[in-house]
Amino acid sequence: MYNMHDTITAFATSNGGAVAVLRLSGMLTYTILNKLTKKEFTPRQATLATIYDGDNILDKALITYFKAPKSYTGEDVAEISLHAGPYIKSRILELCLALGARNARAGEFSQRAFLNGKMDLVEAQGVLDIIAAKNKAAHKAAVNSLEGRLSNRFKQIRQNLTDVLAQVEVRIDDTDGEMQPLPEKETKNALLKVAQEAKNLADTFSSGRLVKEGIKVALCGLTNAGKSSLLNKLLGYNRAIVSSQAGTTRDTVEAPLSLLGFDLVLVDTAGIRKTTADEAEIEGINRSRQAIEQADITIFVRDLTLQDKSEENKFFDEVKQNAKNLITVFNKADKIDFKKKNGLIISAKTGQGLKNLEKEIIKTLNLGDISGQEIIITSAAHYKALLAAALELESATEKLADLELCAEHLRKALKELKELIGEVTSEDVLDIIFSKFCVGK
Amino acid sequence: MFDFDKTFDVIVIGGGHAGCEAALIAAKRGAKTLLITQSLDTIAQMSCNPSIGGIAKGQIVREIDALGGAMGKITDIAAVHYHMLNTGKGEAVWSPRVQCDKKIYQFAYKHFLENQKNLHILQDEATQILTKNGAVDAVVTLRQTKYKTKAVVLCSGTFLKGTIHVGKLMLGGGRYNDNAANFLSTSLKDLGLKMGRLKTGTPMRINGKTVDFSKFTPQPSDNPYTPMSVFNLPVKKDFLQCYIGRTTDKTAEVLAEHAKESALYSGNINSIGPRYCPSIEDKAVKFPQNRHHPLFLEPEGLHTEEYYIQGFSTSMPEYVQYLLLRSVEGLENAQIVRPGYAVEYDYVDPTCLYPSLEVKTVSGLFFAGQINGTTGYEEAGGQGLIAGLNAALKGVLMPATRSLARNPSS
Repeated sequence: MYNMHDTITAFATSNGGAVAVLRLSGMLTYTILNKLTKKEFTPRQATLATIYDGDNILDKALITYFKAPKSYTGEDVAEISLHAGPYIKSRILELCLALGARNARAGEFSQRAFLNGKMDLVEAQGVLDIIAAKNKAAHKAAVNSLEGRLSNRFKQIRQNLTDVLAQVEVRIDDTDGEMQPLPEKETKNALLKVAQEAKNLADTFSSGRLVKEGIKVALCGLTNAGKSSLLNKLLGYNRAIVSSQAGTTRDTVEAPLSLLGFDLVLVDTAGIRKTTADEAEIEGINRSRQAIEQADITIFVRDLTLQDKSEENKFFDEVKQNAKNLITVFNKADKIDFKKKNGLIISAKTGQGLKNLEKEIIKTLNLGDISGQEIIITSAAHYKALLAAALELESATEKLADLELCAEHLRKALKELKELIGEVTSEDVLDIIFSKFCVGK
Repeated sequence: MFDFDKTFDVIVIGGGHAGCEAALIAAKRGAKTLLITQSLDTIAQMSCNPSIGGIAKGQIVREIDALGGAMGKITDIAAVHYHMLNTGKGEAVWSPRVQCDKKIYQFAYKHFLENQKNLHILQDEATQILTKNGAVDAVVTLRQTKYKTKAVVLCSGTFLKGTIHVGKLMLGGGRYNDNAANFLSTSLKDLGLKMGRLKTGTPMRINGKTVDFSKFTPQPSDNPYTPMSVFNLPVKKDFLQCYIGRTTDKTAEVLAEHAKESALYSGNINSIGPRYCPSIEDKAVKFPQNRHHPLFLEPEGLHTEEYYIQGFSTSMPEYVQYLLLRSVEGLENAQIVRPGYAVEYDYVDPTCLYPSLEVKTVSGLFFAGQINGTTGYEEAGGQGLIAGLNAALKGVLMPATRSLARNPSS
């Protein structure tokens, strides 16, 4: 770990723009400010100050000083808003370094905030996610964890489990039979409730991952069904090469698309045909199959103009087996006069039916709730931990008659949840035991 | 000042449960060891109840035993009553508890130490720890002798500026009628250590001849029994009985009426106690809904009628202690032979220690027992063993120190 006692500095803004914000955190913050400006500062008050480089004026800056512990990192912090000239920026950094600060490493401000107890790991993850959020739903999820809503739920879990553990452990110590026996039904219900809550949170992971990483949508079908045309139409620009020649698309083509606030990754695949002997095309077809397996949604593009549908049906059956979520569209509605009423009738050429297709995509993933208030898990590690903890809790409920074994399962559950709820030490359990029960000689 | 003409590898200050284990293990490891104690007659004195072991504590004694300590063996010599606790639960949480004859315990331990090679026992009071270049150099005593040493294990118990409280009465002392160590704290402060005050307490002792035991539930010894030390086999013993009773509504009334007279609530004591040893007035304030607290009468030895009343620790004035006794069925006529009292003492913030129990800022200085803010004979013995072992390593053998993980069994 980096030295926590250093005063660190870094620009909080990226290159470009008219204003640059330099941040300082650590014990030397105030001294550095004072030496830069020859001025005194009141905490939490934006102050206009002249920044001196020796006897010369470097810039006029708006400075806000935060006194520990009421700051982002929990240390003394300053934010200096400067004019974003390249010389000003490099010179002020040099001055700060000369006055005893060092360059901050990536994430070091948030690391200090975490180590000083200003935020927990879930909140820190939220900071990371909120910066990386590319769409509305991901932003919402990140804001929820940053605001501590996720943490509050975990805090509740932590408290409930620690309480039960204390109830169990105090009875291990109760050799004289002073205590009422453990209320089995009540304890069991309490534990199962937490287990269910953990599972519910874990369940949000698949949609959480989709929100964070984007939803993969594969387009597949026979050659020349119009997959690439559909991709281009959905994107609104020509990403894929389109030609009437069957087998034009040989490799999978990916393109990002934002749809109703969700990130999609559209994957155009090579069309399937049996008759080809072209090696590159065969490889392309293999990749199509892979893309279908990996996709969150597969759109099977049927060609309405096709006379002999036997090969299409055969491929459809195969895709049906491998796709997680399948949407079938009937393409080339512009080409023929036709009476079919069921299914998604589209024309990749004219754009007919594409709005319905977009709605169908969102509906298929059942993502409606996520863009709202729902709290979701976005990290695979958290997902695994929650499921493992739920399992331990269920085991604990089966061992209520054997207190020492029950306690062991509870400790394991708490250990699994450590990253989410913080470590529960024997000291935490003893605190509850000694405050709730009359123990001692 | 007289400079002693020999340099020790390890000097242990204090001859209680921590100091005895520390001195013994250091000498066993080949360190030339000096044990300095204020009184040879109170070596390994059981200042509180006449019992070793209990829930979790019994496990510590077994660990001390396995690591070469003496507590388990001495316990078996002095035992008058064995009881394995928690046998209704899994074996991992079974805990041996043994009532001991106090006098036999302390003299057996003294004899044990006297027979240990490399160990010099001395009756004096350590008043100063001298350092050189950030490392321990010598210990100076009240009789103005300077003993050079490579390591020191400090096991001061409740004696550093110890103050005894019985109601409003305040007396200097580390234990009733035993002198406090009033100089060493200053020396520790000079070393830059963060000190604080703690309090603990002990119940009154009564004459068993004045107790109506018919009002109590007797608890006989396990027989056959499991010895405390795994190196011992059961032998034929003379057993004594313990007795189980309860406080009454009347006790709660007495406590409520006289709460302000306790040294704890009169303003005389501001320090807090290790939480495992609450006084009866503490229990009444913190858990008013529990009105009938369990009491456990423990015989103090084979050659005395004194009984210890576990659960009745108090620093009330003596007349209130009589009112408390009279509120308990069977103790209406009990005579107090020694009053219950609270004792306040200096301790050092244990975050100044490495897990080896060596002080981070003073090379070769180790702390064990109540100076670290802990409580209990067994806890003290365990720390003494680790500190003594590491002091010996520091003193003679090698620079590396040992520590045990916090939960080695899990």
